[in-house]
Amino acid sequence: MRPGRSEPFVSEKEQPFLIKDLRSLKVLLVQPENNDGVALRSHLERIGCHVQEIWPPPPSYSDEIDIVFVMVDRVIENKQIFHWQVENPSAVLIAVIDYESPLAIDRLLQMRVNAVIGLPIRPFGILTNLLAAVNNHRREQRLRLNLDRLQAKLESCQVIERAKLAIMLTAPQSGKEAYGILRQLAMKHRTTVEAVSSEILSGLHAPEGD
Amino acid sequence: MTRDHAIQIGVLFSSSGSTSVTEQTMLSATKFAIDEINGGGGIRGRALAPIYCDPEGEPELYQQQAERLLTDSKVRVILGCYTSRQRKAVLSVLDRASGLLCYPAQYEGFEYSENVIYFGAVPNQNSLFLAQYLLQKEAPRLFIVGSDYVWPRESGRIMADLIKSGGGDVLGQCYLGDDATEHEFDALIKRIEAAKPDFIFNNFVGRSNVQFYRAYVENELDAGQIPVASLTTSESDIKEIGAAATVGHITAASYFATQSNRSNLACLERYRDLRGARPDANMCWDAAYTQTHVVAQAMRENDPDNINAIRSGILGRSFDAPQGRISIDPLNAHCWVWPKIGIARADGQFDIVAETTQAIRPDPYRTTYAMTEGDEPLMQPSLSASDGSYGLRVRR
Repeated sequence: MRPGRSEPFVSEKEQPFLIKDLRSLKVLLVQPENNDGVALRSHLERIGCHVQEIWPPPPSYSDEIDIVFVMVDRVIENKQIFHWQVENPSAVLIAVIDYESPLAIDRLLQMRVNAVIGLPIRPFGILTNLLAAVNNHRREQRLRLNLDRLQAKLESCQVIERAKLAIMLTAPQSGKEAYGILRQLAMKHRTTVEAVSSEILSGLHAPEGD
Repeated sequence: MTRDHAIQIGVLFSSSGSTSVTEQTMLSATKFAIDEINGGGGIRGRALAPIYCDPEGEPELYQQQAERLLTDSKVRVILGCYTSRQRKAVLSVLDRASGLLCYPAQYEGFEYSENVIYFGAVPNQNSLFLAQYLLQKEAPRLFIVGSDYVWPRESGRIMADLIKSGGGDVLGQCYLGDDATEHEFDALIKRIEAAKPDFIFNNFVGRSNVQFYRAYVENELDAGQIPVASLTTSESDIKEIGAAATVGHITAASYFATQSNRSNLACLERYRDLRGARPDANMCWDAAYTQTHVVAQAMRENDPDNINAIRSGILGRSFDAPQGRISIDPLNAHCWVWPKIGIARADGQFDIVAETTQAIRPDPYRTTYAMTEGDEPLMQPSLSASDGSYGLRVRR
């Protein structure tokens, strides 16, 4: 099977987040009051995004926020802590930085930023960077979701296979016939083949367990 | 006023090359405004000393000459450029040498630079109103044509969105290169004729625009059959094309020389008094004239040698321009302008058939164009209850 065809669970079409949707984006700027902050805010407003500002960094972020810009070096200078759910981020994270030293880069990679903007703020490129980051973030979320579904499906298949095997051991039946029995049971009890399988297996295991 | 104490200013318009037709009107307006400024005592007693260049329409020459102006001549402000490619070429130099460009042409938007003030219209100030006008015909069918570069394609995309959202349709789109032959234009016109659209939306510029209207006439078409709508075909273009070929066609612009408002009449009269003839005025003439005076005002009230002081003096400033009272938006450095619809006459001038009731805010980063957006605040201030045509007030 070609790689492109091996994703049986892709239900959403690969719809990119387009420039026409730009003005629906809610942006939160995590920055203290300063000229760079004003320049960034002004440009995002010029583009037409909904912009809010917050300082110091909050402990968590509302799901309403689509993009968080954080002035990383201001956070460090002010001895603040930037809390971020690296494993399951609720928004796109864009870092605004002064330094491009190895240590600083390492920190950005740890934070898993989706894009980086340098100081001083130059308007050109912010719009494109922002849209690319939003698209990458959403694609990652979709892939993550698909992965979770695949994982669940795999586990369900294993349970059904084992239940089929159990049925085949009790009487000389083919795998197909065993599956037919499971399916009929599921229909009778108005449940899924997986649930029936799992019940059969737990029945088998129960005496051994205690 | 002593010459050595003069304030030098760069003027970057082509008097030769493919874009010279329009740029010469900008140059003429700039010269006129500078004469008025110096005639009125200059800038705090110092003369405004223009350094004129001829970049021949070539982006590389705009860049080289802008660099020379900013580094060798110690110019801080440049008035100039017509196409987006010319402006983009100058942008990098402006940033390095901290110069300020005042740009008098309409363009496609999606730009903001701390080194540029934009005096021309962006699509929410012209395309939107042209679409409103075309949509007065029920479900209009358009054929979109133009030169093959960023502005015409972007302009075509916006118009297609607007017309479709208003219940109309786009029958075809075609873009031709600058080197397109007579034969190609002839083939294009025949293709359009076969498609039978209600309007042609034309985004050809410079020489191609002349070729387009000539091919149109040679195929025995006229505005009674398929009117051509444009954002660029102005009085000076018509002079080049020939008025006979453009009669009855539609142009949306922020200025027409036939405007009867006091500031326009007074300005044209001052020009006649000074030059002894009528100016070859069009939307670019108006914007070039306006920007020169706005810069002079900002210089008078702030340190005329300090680029940041001049820039902040320009932002938020208003001026009684020939087109109407304009102002410079402090957030995006673009101009609030007065959209109008003109129909070309036999004498090469325009009858103004619709206009807005107030200046329209520039929204250079507007990404969606649809006629159905009730929540779009830009249309609200110009809503005219009498005829229900959104922002346009139709003259009868």
